[in-house]
Amino acid sequence: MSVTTPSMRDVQEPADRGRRPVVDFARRFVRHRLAMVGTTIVLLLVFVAAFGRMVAPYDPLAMDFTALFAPPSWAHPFGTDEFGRDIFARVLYGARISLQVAFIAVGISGTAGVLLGLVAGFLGGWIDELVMRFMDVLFAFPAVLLAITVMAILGRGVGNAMVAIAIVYIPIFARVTRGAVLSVRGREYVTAARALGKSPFGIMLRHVLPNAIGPIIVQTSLSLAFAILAEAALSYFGLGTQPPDPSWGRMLSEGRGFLQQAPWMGIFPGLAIMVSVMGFNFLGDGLRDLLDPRTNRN
Amino acid sequence: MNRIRPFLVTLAALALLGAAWAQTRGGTLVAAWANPVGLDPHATSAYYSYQTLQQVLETLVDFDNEQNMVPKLAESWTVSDDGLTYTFNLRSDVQFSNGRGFTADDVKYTYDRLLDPDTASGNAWRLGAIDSIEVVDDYTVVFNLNTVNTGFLGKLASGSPVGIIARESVEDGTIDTAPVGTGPFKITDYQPGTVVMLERNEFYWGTDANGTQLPYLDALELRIIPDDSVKRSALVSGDVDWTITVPPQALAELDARDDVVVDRSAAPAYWYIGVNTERAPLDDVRVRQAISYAIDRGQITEAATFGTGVPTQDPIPSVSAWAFDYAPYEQNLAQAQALLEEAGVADGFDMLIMPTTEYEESIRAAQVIQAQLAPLGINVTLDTREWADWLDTQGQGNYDTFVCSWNVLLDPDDFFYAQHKTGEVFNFTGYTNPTVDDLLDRGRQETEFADRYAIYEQINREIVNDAVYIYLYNPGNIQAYAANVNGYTARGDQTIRFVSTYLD
Repeated sequence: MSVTTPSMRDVQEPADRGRRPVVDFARRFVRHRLAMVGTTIVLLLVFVAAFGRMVAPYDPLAMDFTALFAPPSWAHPFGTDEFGRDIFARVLYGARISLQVAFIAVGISGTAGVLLGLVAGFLGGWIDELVMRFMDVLFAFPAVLLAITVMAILGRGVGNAMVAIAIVYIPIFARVTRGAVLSVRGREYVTAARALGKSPFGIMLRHVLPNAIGPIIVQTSLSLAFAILAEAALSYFGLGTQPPDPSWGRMLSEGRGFLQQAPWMGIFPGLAIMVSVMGFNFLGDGLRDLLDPRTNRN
Repeated sequence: MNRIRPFLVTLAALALLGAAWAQTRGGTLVAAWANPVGLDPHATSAYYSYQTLQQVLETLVDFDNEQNMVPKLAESWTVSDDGLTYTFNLRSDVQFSNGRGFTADDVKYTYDRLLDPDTASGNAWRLGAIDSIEVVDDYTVVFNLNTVNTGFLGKLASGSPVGIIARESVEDGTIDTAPVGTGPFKITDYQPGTVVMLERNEFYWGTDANGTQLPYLDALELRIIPDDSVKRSALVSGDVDWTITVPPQALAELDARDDVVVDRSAAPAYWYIGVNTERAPLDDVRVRQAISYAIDRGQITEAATFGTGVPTQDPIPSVSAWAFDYAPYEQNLAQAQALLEEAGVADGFDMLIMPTTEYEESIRAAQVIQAQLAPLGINVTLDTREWADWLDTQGQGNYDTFVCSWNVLLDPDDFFYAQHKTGEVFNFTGYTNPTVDDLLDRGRQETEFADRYAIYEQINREIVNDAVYIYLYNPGNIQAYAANVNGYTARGDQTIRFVSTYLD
């Protein structure tokens, strides 16, 4: 690169600015209260999902017919259900199922959506039209309805629930990515890379994606919240996690029949869903505040 | 004064009459119902279909609530000395809900259709003893039997599956949605999954003790509410007047309410695990017995019915005169493990169990069974299905095991014949046992109670030992309704009848 001219330095890529911005970002992140609350909740969730099995006082599948519908107590902090199963243990185990489904589903839809959005946004033309119109078709359906339809075709089960949720969220990732790509596509450093004769695929991955990553990260965090909700909804309808596995949505649906006799059966899994969705939402909102250049308070 | 008094008396009498009139006559009873699966009495096997038809179809003879045989469409009957000829004298004042008079031809038409092999009715077993039906005149009909059949009259009284239908509804194709009968109500609208609307049959022949024409109600609105807890809320909030099932967990709460009546009776019914005898390894009797040894029926009953059912190892409730109380399967995991080893599946196997969303208790029972079989390495997966889908799957034999119930069983024959006789339509498990087949035929012909009892005791033993049905519990018959619903009783034979019901 001995021919590098001084003017090339002026078109330096934001993503190449070295370590300073990262440190700067971290400092701002720590100071952002919402983001920190979200991060704490998410870390706690991940911890529970990873080590909940060791913390759980009971086997979440073990039935105890001497303690049906036991209200919350020291022995059963969240009470027991209609089979005498410990709800605290089930909520802990449920965290792993919920997170697993959320991460895998969002992983699939994120990968697929980002690739599609990248290709559509960067290449433009008829490919853009084709991909985005197809995304519009998917986007036209209400999310849960589309997921139920996919489940009806694929059949019940937690694996299929992941696929269904993934399909539902592909268009969002595609749109967000495409939007971000369009905003950086015309920048000088991309033109420069083109001028240097780099392959379009290389430019996409090396130069476009890193600079469009902010909105994608925000979207990932928000989608994790939606995915947890979607899994709960599918399991609530009996399509997702199958008995006896404890999924929060399933527990909520089972608890619904006993709201009068044993409200704790529905309250605790409901709280678990609420708190974890809130955690990912806070994190996502915080990240958006910090990553969006328009709200950049530098 | 003297002139005024008669006037006042007349006025008071009229007022009283008016009050009495307003009290009993008119109104629409809104019932929380469950989905009937087809309304052709000869085609369906669904309990809620039969209960719907119970309002529409009537039988020749009937049971009162004390299980005494009483006349219905037949005023009287005689049986020949050899027990092979039954002659019925029919009522001459009966009309179908379309206004056409009911005659002996309708009786012959109904049972010829039921028994016609082309109909392939799962209910033909009830009247299999009929050789021929002769119409003597408009109001006399003769049944010739091919063999002596002790429970024959009881079978003719066994509710809507053998109710008399009008041929018009078969001919115009409405038999599956709006069959026409002589009963107190007629179906005016049937929207599957939503509602069945019935109106009073203005031609109904029945009257109450005062000579007032029955039924009292103008209409029935049977709302299909699949979810038990929604049924409860609908009743408590006054959206419905009556509910066909009550979530057992809500019984204590409903009992405590002044505005709701909880009506209980024993149910001649049982819940069981049906085992597919044509699928390995369940085709091995030792594997089926192992399952029967492995389960704890007390826990299953508790979880499924919250104490309203009675655990049992054979089908007939202990309160019945026909009870056998044969109970060889006290829970014994070692015994179960030994049987699995003998059968060559010591490490267990994968097994599907099919409950239905229609009966939430079947899902709860299946979950307990799943947990109880886990220690044996039997890895049970729940295959929960919606009711119509469930019935289809069962009919195709596309299952390992299922959880279901038989209801409205009066004679011991009802507990075993349709379920276990080789080749019967409702013998969904594919069970075949020549000894049982032979005993079932003999049980129908035997007249002495003690001898019949001995025969059915042997049948009971065979079936329980073969573990083709793994019996779980005898349920209770529980219905709940608003306090202003009068003239309704939960009957011991489980049939639901609104003929004398009124709202005040």
